[in-house]
Amino acid sequence: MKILGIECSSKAVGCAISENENIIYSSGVEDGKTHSQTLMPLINEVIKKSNISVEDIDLFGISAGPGSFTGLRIGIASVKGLAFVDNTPCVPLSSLEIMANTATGNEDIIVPMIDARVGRVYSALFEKNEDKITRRSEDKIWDLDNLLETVDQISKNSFFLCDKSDLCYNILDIKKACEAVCKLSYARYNEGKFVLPENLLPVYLAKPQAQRERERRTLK
Amino acid sequence: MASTFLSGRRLRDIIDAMKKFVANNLEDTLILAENIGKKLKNKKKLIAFYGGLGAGKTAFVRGLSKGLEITSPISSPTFSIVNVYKGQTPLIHFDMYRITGEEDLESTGFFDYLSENAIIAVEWAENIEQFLPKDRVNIKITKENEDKRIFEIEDLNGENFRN
Repeated sequence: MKILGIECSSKAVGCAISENENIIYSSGVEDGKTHSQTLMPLINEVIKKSNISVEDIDLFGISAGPGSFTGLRIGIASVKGLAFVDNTPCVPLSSLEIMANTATGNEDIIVPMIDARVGRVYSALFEKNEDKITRRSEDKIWDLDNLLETVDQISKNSFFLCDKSDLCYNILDIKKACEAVCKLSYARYNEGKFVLPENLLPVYLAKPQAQRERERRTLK
Repeated sequence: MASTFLSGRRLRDIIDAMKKFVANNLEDTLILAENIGKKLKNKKKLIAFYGGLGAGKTAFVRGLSKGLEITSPISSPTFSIVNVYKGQTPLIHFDMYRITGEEDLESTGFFDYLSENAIIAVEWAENIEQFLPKDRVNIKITKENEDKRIFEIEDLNGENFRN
């Protein structure tokens, strides 16, 4: 089946096309322009270079969160628009899981992080066993110190990965990310885990309840 | 207190980290704003506006946009929350009057816009004080009477406005 994968949850945007798990073509852009300007031309480029047409796409894969509010919405709205035409199935994926699946070293714990400001990150823990990556904890907002301490207690052989250079050393490779979207989407589809375009929604991780209550009290 | 700004050259001489300007009428406001806009061309900066209803925040942004050479007419973002104007120096114009809390603010795309190369004008900045970047310009507007305004302009990163 032909799969179109899009990674749009952070500053870079990537698009890949695969035949099942085999990547046909992929491309990424990070040029300081907004995703609303770069995404559709990128999809267009990838489609042309793959020598297929949008009608041939059997499955859409997309990062659904966490991440940039506007990035996620632009990505999901674009995929919905494309998928609505033929009611093509879609696979919403965790952007953290996508990131984890780009790690190629031999560490046993992979920690993808997305900046959530004020010393916090969106993160989840993944285990790596040979080439297989499995989730160990759910996506949530962490205090960075807390996260580092927790990882340290689990393993000294950990690999941190993030979307911004001021957060950590290893930065996400956007091409690998959108290729991972295709591969993960294929796997999910085969497990029956896909949705119709009308049910494709972003996943914004909310702050813990107590923090929201406190904010409500202190502002206005 | 220096209080004149009618020609661009005079403005350049006297703008400093913290300055007060008096506008006797709307036209003065627009000239001041336009001159500041000219200095902000091709720059990346956030301008936080503090001032009550009718103080002239949107009018100021109108003048600012002229200095930035934006051709589209500026409208108040009271209902839209944010208006984006394209141009060589893009202008992103927020009204935070109805914004409560970080999640609300996030949903406006504010944090994503912070990393763009643009001038960001924020009306009702007091509503999101804790989320404003430290490197910014504060403009406080006081309404003296129907026509007269006092502008207190503070560049929190002293360098940029001195050139």
